[in-house]
This record gives sequence, structure tokens and C-alpha cells, in this order.
Amino acid sequence: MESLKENFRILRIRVESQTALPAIVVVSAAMSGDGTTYVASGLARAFAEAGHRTLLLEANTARPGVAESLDIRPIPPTCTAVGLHARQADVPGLWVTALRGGPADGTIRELTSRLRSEFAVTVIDAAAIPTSSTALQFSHAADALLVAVRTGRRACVADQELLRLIGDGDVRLLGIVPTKARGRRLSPPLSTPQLVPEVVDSPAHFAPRAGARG
Amino acid sequence: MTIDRITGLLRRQWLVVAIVLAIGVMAYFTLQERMRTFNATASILGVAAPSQNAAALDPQKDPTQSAVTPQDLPSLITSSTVVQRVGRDLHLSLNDTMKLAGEVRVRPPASNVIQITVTDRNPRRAVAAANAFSTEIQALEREIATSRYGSLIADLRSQLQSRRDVLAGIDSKLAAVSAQDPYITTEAGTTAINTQLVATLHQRDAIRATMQGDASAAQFAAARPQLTRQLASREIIDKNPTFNSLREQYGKDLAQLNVALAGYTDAFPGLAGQKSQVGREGQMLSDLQTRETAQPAKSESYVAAMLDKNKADAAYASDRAQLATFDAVIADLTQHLSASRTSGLSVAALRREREAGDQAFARLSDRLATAMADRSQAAAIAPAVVIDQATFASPSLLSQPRVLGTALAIAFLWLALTLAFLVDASDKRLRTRTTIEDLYGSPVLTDVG
Repeated sequence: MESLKENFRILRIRVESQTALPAIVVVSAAMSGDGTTYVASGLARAFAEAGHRTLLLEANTARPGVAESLDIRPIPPTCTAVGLHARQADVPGLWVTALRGGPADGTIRELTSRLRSEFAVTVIDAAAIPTSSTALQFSHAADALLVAVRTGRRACVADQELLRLIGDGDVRLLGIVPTKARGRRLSPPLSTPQLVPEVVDSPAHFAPRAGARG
Repeated sequence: MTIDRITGLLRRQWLVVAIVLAIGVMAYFTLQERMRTFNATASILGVAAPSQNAAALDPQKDPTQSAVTPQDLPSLITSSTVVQRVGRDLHLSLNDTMKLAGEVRVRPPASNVIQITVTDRNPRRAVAAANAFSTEIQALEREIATSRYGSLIADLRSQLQSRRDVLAGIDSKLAAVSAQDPYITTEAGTTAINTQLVATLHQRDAIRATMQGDASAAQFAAARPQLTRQLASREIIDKNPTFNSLREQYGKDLAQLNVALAGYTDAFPGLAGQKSQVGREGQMLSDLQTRETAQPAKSESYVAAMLDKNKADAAYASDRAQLATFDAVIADLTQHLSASRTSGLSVAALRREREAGDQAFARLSDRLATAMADRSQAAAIAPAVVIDQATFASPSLLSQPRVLGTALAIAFLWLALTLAFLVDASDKRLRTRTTIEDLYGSPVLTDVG
């Protein structure tokens, strides 16, 4: 467990060293099941533990792992302009929210600006880029892209498709994060944050404190 | 390949390694009994008699030179010919004989001493097989040494048979020609006729000369009876006692008459009687002489003369008869000689052909005798000599459990690693940092697995 945390700390340091805060980091993959939720959760927890106000945004509408495990009610796309509906996790400085579908047209830039203004680090748990336009949108809008790859699986066409989709130069592929066996993301104790029991009533009050440290 | 790589390989392909090692363990227990074999070794000395002729099977080669060099022996020993002979000697089945080919080893001849080692699960059979190999290689080597003459001898025999057939054909032709003409012999042809003709002519001349002599003798003999007639009459009268006594009486009476005539005149009375007595007696003598000499055969001389005459006549007649016979024979021979001229020529040609065939047959016989003598000499040479016969069989190295276990452990460990490496190399899954970086062209930040 400790070594696992240490690995995420190393990952956080490497990301932090190559991006300027506030930053939006998208964790995606070539195919579903490669462990994006696992990496995103661990990375977000590591950033939060490092004292950065961090938001874990689940945009994986196909497999909403964090939302399901934390029983988060995803916000609809039309509401992204209104509020993030972020909830405080069990780690100080870590906030969690989820999107139902992609952001509404024309709101992606506004959303990212809002994320950068409200959080030092936003880690987006995106679906596989070859299968999700939302993930590709976030990749273009984000500061860095991390690709989770499940070790042990075979290289496939999806890998080439991913590289082709992000190969226009606009996406900054920061690096690859190998993960282990499928389904580990469903193990909450490892990386998935737990929500604190308090409930924020209104989206307006849900707005995080700017520059606050957890 | 570093220890870390081997460790990683074992971690990824542990199942392959485990399966191979498990097979190795099973192989150990399986082979422990099957690999229990024994080695028996027999040593032979290949006589160092290098071939002076590149053609080892050259019949012209010195028969005292070995046809097989010591360097040839290993290949010969492991040849199927020797293996099959050994299998036959040991009464092995076909399968066991085939196995035997893989159980015999021959150490390459660093020297002329060659060791034949047979490996078998049965120590007695290993010993017997090693000794059988040493025996059979000797036999085979001897056969090879003599086989180079065998083909020559067979060929010479075949040629001799052909020559014999040709000569028999010539003889039959000669016999056929001779059968057609009795005056032509297979040995002399028409020469016999000529010879006989000449001899007959000589004989006729001799007979003719004899006949002339006999004719003269007969002519002389024919005159002899007439010449001996007076002598024969005298002999007849002289040998007749009556005539002699009568002549004596006549002489006496004639003497008395002459006395009376001398003393008396014609008037003497008794003179007339005496004259008449003498006249009668003279007449009687004359009659008796005439009567006796009328049969000259009573004279031995006459008879002898007559016999001589008859003999001479008979000889003359015989000579004439013989001369007539010879004339007839000469005429007959002359006629045959003229008629047999063609046959005589063919016989002469056949005779010449026969003589040439005889000479060729004699030459072939000489060569056959020489080849057979050379073969016997080559067969008498034993180029491979058995130095040590196999007397015992020692357990082979792999029969020892420790050695077998070690060998199998090394072999199967190597096999396991090789298979693991091959399986790992053929595995296209994303297992290592390098393969992932190669795939995406981006660095791996950290492994969070």
C-alpha cells in the first residue's frame, strides 16, 4: 500500500514538474479497462495530499466508476455552466464531481477556465479517447494528457487510433502510466477517495474556496 | 542475459518453466530404468598397409596389399552390412538389429588400434555384439580383399565357358562334315585322303614291282617241271625196285649173251633163246620205264618243281589281283578327293579356327589360374587382427543416477529457459516498460501497478 502511494507521489512529482499550476490533467486510455479511474483517483489524491486544491472530475460516462462507487449524482452537461457540484472527499483539499455526458457545446473553454480558477489541479478521469469525443475534447483543452495502459494486454488497433487522434500537435501527451490487472479501480481503499458525509446544498455554495488548501 | 532479465523471464513464464521441469522430473524417473545400459568394448588392430593404388579393388593390385585401410574400418563397422551380419549372428529380430546400429560406436582411429563399443541393456548381449562386430569386420574385410578377384574370376569363367561353347560348335561342325564324307576326318580333313592316296600309289608301285618279280619267278618256275622231267624219270626208275631188279637181270642176261656171242657163233643153239630173253627183258624194261615215267608226280623233284611253279603262279596272280585292287582304290580316292575339295577347305578352316580357339582357351585358363591363386593369397591375409575380445560390460555413464539426474537437470533447465524465452519473445502483450514506450513513443512516467 505504501509503495503504491509512493508510486502515485512519483507520478504527481513528474506531472507537477512538467506542468505549471493551475493545471488540468486528463487521464485517458486507448481502450476501456486500462485503469484511467485508478490512475486519476490516485493522482488526484497525491496532489491533494501534497497540499494542492484538487478536483477529481469524472468524465467517463461509459464507465462512471468513481461516481458509482461514491454514489455521486453526475451533473448534467447543461449544468456545467452553473456549477461543478463538487463534493469534498475524505482527503483534505480533494474535491470530487462527475459529468453526465460531455460538456454542452461552447462551454468547454468556460469550464476549463473555471476549473483553473477554482482548483490548482484538476484531474479528469476520461473515457477511452478512441471511443469518446468528450475525452478527446478534454485532451485538447487540458494542459497534459496521461495515458493509462494496462500491462498484460495485447497491443491493438485502439492504441494506434489513440495516437492518430491526438497526433495533431495540440494535445500534450505527458507520458504513459502502466497499470495492472483489470478491475482494480473498483477497490476503493487503494486510490479512490471517499466522500465526507456533509452535503453541500446549493451549487452556489458548492463553489470551492479559491486558493484554499485541504 | 542478466540475472534480472532471467528473474523477470521466470516470473512471466513460470508456468512454462514449471511444466518443462516437471517433464524433466518425469523423464528422470522414466529414463532411470531405460538408460540402464552397459558398454562392452573389443579392440582390433587395423594392419597399416596403405593402398599403393588409388583403386582399392584393382585386380592388378598386389594381393598382399590390404584392400581396406584402418581409416576405412569405422565406416565399415557401422555399415548396415556388418550390422545385419551381427544381428544374424546374435539371432536378433529385425527391430533389434536396427537398434543395434545405434548402439555401436567406433572410436576414430588415432592409431591403428580401433575400439568397437556396443551399448546395450543386456551386458551379455553387449559383450557378444562387440565380439561379433570384431569377427564380422574381419570376415567382411576378407571378402572385400577377395571380391576384387571374384568379378575377374567370374568374368574369366564366363569367357572360358563361351570359348568352350565356341569350340564345341566347331567340333560339331567338323563332326558334321566328317559324317557326310567318311574320307574326311575331324582331325586331318582331306589330308587323310591325300595321305592314303599317296600310300596307295606307293603300295601299287611296290605291288607292281613285286608282280614283275613274281612274273619272272613264275616264268622260271613254269620251265622247271619240264627241266626236271628227265631227272624225275631217273628218280622214279631208280627208286623202282622192280625196274632195278629187272634191269639187273637184263644186265646179267645181256652179259651172258655177249659172252655167248663172243664164244659162239650164231649157230649156237642157245644163242637165239638168249637173244630172245634179252630182247624180252629189254622190252620189259622199256615198257616198265615208259609206264613208270608217265607219272612224274612220283618224283619229289618234279613235285617240288611243280609246287614252285604253282606258288609262283599264285603269287603272280595275287600280285595282279592286288594291283587291280589298288588301281580301283586309287581311282576311288582320286574321285573322292576331287569331290571333297570344298569340304576339305571348310574342314581346314574349321581346324584353324579350332586351333586358335584352343590357344585362346589356354590363355584364359592361365589367367583364371593366376586370379584364383591371387584370391587365395589375398584371402589368406588377415588385415584386421582382434587384439582384445570383449569379456565384460561396464555400466554406461548415464546409467548412474547422479550423472543422469545432473544431465537431465542441465538439459531441461536449458530447455525450460529456452522455451520460456521463446514464448516470451513471441508474446506480443504489453508487459514491459520498453514495449509500452515503443508503442506510444512517449516515456513511461511511473508504474502504478
